[in-house]
Amino acid sequence: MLQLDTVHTFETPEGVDLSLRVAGPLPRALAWVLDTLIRYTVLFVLSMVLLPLAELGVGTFLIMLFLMEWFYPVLFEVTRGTTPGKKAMGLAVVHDNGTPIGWPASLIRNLLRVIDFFPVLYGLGLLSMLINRQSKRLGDLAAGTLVVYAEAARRADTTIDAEARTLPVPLAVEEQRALLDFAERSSKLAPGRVEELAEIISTERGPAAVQTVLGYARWLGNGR
Amino acid sequence: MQLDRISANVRYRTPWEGVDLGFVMARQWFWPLWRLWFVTALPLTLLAVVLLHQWPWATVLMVWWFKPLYEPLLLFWLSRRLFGEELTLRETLGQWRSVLRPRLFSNLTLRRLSPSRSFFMPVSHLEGLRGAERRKRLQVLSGGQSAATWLTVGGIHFESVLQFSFLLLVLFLIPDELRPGDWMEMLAGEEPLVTWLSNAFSLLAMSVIAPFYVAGGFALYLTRRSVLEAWDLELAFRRMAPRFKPARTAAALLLGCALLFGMAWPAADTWALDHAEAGQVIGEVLQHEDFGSRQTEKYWRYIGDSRKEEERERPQWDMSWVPIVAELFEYLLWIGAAVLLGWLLLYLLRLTDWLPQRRAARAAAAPSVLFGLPVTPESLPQDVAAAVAALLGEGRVRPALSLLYRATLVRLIHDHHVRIPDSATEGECQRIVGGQRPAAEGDFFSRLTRAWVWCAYGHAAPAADDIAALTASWQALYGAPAHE
Repeated sequence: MLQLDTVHTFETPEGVDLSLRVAGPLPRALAWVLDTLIRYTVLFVLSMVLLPLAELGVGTFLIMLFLMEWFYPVLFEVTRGTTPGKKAMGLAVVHDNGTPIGWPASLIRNLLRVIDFFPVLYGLGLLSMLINRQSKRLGDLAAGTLVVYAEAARRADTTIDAEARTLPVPLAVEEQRALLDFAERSSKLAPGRVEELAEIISTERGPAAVQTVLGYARWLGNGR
Repeated sequence: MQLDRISANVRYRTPWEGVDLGFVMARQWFWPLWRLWFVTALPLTLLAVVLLHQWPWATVLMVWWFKPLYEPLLLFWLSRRLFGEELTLRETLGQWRSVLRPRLFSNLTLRRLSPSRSFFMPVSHLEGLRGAERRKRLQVLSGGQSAATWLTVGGIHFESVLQFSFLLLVLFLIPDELRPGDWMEMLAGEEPLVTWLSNAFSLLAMSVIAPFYVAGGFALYLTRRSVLEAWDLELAFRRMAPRFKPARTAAALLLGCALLFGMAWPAADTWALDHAEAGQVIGEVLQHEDFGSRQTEKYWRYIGDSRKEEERERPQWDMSWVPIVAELFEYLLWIGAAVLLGWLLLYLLRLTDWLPQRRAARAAAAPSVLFGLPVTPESLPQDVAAAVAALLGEGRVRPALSLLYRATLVRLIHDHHVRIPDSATEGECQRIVGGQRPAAEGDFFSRLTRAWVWCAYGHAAPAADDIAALTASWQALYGAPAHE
């Protein structure tokens, strides 16, 4: 059965599957708004300082305007992998194969903003993002880049409060991860729901089942 | 609803990713959703046009205002489709009464401007909650995230961007001769044709964004529930269960765990509970923390400035320093330009080898070993020609040729300053020498190289006469140490 998801998988030559969590139009639009705000704030401050300085000031300001317009995203993407606005939204730009973006790709995708902007306020870019399966705007299509979520969805160190129990059966990596996830998230779930979940794989009932499953997780967490 | 029939990948997601999943759903099922939107929106649009044709702006406002009338059908279709049940248009419309009824009036009046409309819709339409229960449930589901609001804000902007993009595209494409005026004027003016065109594109933009908006809100709702109720863990556990438990219990479990969440579409799932009993169970469930809790939040609020008016007056800035700084900048720029020019000149001099110390430095950096042969003046005998003749006399052709070749390289590098990188091969040496030295030397060197390469690598020793001829040429060219 078809399983809808936002993940784009890329298989490396070594046969490793990389999962990239592609970002959609909404977070990207918000990131763009943030970047625009930052850019114009900086330009506003610069104009306050530079414009009173007669011709030198105006000249410098015009140069800064040019640089901010065309190279603000390029510089941040190449050096940091993401612009400040994207970073605030937890996004990053990578090549289609998941490698960090370099000068050529970043230049292409940012110079083509002009086309995406056409006819007004990224009209073409928005349509392209709505249609394309990986939410790419035209610049992304030309440069072969993806905008993805940078950090993992969650990272919490939890101590598992249960006695370690040996797993009765061997488990695949994803299944082991599900057990550890259970231990990590059980404190945030409703207690009844936790018991219900634990009873699925335990023959015991109620809190005892929870203890058993937490015990499995503890055993896995200890690395045996 | 049965979780194992869901046709979206259930995993832990952030709210933003939830919205993105909704966009994927809308993209996947765009055409049925789009059609469904028009089925309800189009009659209303026609009605609005008939009623309000004097005021074109009012028609589009009316169509826009009645959005909550079109969206529940999309949500209904989507919620069924996601769990594998594909309803036809007729089947969907057959349910319109029960689908549209919940909270329709308040949705069209009081709550029309609610920023989380798409996210709240599943709660009132799919869970069927109302009043205080609904409010508490929403609070829990929202869980402090604001993606739903941003989805609405984004949706509004996406719509207007699309609308004006379509409109401007058409205006741009009209040839100048056929266009009555400048497109800016046309846009701002009261031209009825442009206004109606704009309205039509507004309708088109709304219809395009609507599936994404509804699906975005629905997926956000599912994501929040799947986080709060750990759907991903449940699916994973159920897949593992047969191995953890003996077959008998597993079968019973599969029956029991066809977990039914309360999606309150009429006649969706019926349970054999009598009314009073059901009421009690519902009461117990609603008491639970999942359906509402109390929290204290602290935040800063601006309560005005306590200082008096005159204290707040802005200081006058002293601007006399500005020209001084400007002048300073000018000098700095001149100095910078001078430094840059000087550096460029120096760089040019280095490139063209006009600086004497540069030449000396290069001579010092001459390679001492080329392809395994030592090429320093110290490694040569005093009289090269005599040494070669002596080696030939002993019948040692290879050492003789090697010595001749090395001696030539040494002379070229140290006396004639031919630049040979220490990574060069014999062929490259030959090309370099051919390019930098007179034709006679180049010719000699290529003959010598050929002889040496044949001898060294091909083990084909040249005739003694050839070597003697080469030695004679060498003596003529390099015999007396040259000093340029």
